[in-house]
Amino acid sequence: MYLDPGFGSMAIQLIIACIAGGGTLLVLFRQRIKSFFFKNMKNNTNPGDTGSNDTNE
Amino acid sequence: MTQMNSIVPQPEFSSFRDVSGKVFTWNGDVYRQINMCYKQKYQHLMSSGLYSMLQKEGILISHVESQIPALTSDAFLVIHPDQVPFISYPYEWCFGQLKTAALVTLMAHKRALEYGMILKDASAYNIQFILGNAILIDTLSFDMYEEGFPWVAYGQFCRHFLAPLFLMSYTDIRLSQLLRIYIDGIPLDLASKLLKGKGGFDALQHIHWHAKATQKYALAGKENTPKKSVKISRFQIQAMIDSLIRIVEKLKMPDVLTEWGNYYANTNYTDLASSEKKGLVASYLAAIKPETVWDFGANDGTYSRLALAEKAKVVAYDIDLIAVERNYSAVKLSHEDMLPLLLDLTNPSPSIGFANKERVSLDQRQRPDCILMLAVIHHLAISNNLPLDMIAQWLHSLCKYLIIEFVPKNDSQVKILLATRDDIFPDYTQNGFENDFIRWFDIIEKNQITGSDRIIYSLKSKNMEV
Repeated sequence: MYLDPGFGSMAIQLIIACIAGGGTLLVLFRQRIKSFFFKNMKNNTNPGDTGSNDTNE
Repeated sequence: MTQMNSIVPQPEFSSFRDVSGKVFTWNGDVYRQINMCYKQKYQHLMSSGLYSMLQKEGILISHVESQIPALTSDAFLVIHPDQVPFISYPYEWCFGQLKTAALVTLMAHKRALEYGMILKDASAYNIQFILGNAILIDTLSFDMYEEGFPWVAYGQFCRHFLAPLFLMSYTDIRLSQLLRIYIDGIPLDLASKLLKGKGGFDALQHIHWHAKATQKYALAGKENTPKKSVKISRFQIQAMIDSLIRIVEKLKMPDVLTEWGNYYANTNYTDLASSEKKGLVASYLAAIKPETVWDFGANDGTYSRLALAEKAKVVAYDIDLIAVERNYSAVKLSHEDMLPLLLDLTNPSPSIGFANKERVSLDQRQRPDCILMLAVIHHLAISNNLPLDMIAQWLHSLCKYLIIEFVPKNDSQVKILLATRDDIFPDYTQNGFENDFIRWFDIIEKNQITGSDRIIYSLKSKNMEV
């Protein structure tokens, strides 16, 4: 009796999908950290910036 | 898919595996019957927004629901898809075509997941080219997504797309021809052996580990037989698809110099002779007014484009993958009605698969109105020892009109071919050529190109309804 040879593809997907999922989480986490610091830096350098368009004033 | 005219519906042999429906031809057009068992899935595809999204992105072939009678009683509906001008197979594609087809397959799966479905088939044969675009032609390839279930077509995707792309990129571009032997894609253990560890972490995961896992679980009764089924979250599947898309996008064709890669820079034509040849071919084509043209030895499609000017649908064949690649790159940008394909005229694509009927030979797919065969005959007759009479007979069986260039022995290109071998071709003369070809064709017109001994003929097949 044989198992469906496709099971190997299913089984390896578990590992590959974990790696890909982990990688994506890492990228998302890195982006959040970056944007957190970027926001802080932006706030520190432009404390008076209210988002209004100065050139029109 | 063969596209021969028939008054009674003709079932398409190659769709025998699909229980969801059947493809058939009727009155020259291809139709797809959808069976009752696929009704719910089809309705989800159409009503969920997935079909519209796939249409918007040019991923799936469009269709209209048809009123013509179905092939069998278990039908729910018959659809009439857009017609594919010429069916081609992955072993006839260049690297860029296979890569584009792989990306379209992955995008179809990605979009399907967003709408609660999956792509259940990742067969390269489900992708075809229309106006330079790769498009999924199997409307019934979608299944409902079940939470936690892995991608059922992942193994097929790796065999049909990733393995040949990795092999072409890292080992040898000619290895795409393994697809001609292995109709369900290149076995991953074979791909793994041929790659010899190349391809980095991407190949390690999807080819090498994958091959090992397939072998490991192939036999039951082993200690490592899995005890429970595999569960993968939707997020993980989406991450895997995105990763596969990035992997395919990164793959590049190796830098290789081929015999024909820079052909038009190495011909013996002067600018004047070249422009005269173009003028002659254009005038012959204008007189024939073909709707379908095959260009044998098309190289980058320079002369094929003369047929496009006559509004013909063109298939541009060449034996050289680099030439096909170059032509495909141009067609992909211009969206011309031309399909560049790989073809060895001395060994054209045969019929393969179950009962030798699943994928049909070149001559069963279409009978073009006209074949262009410019500066090719000397390669067949002298380099490959093919008798002129046999070439004429074969071409007669293929087309209604033939535009062919005879390259005589005193031509510098033929002298090169004869430089390293005995001249055993006493009949390879203009008279010998004409004697053999007039058995099968009538000469409509012939003209010698100024400043050269080459002659361009316009021929019409004998005893053929045209």
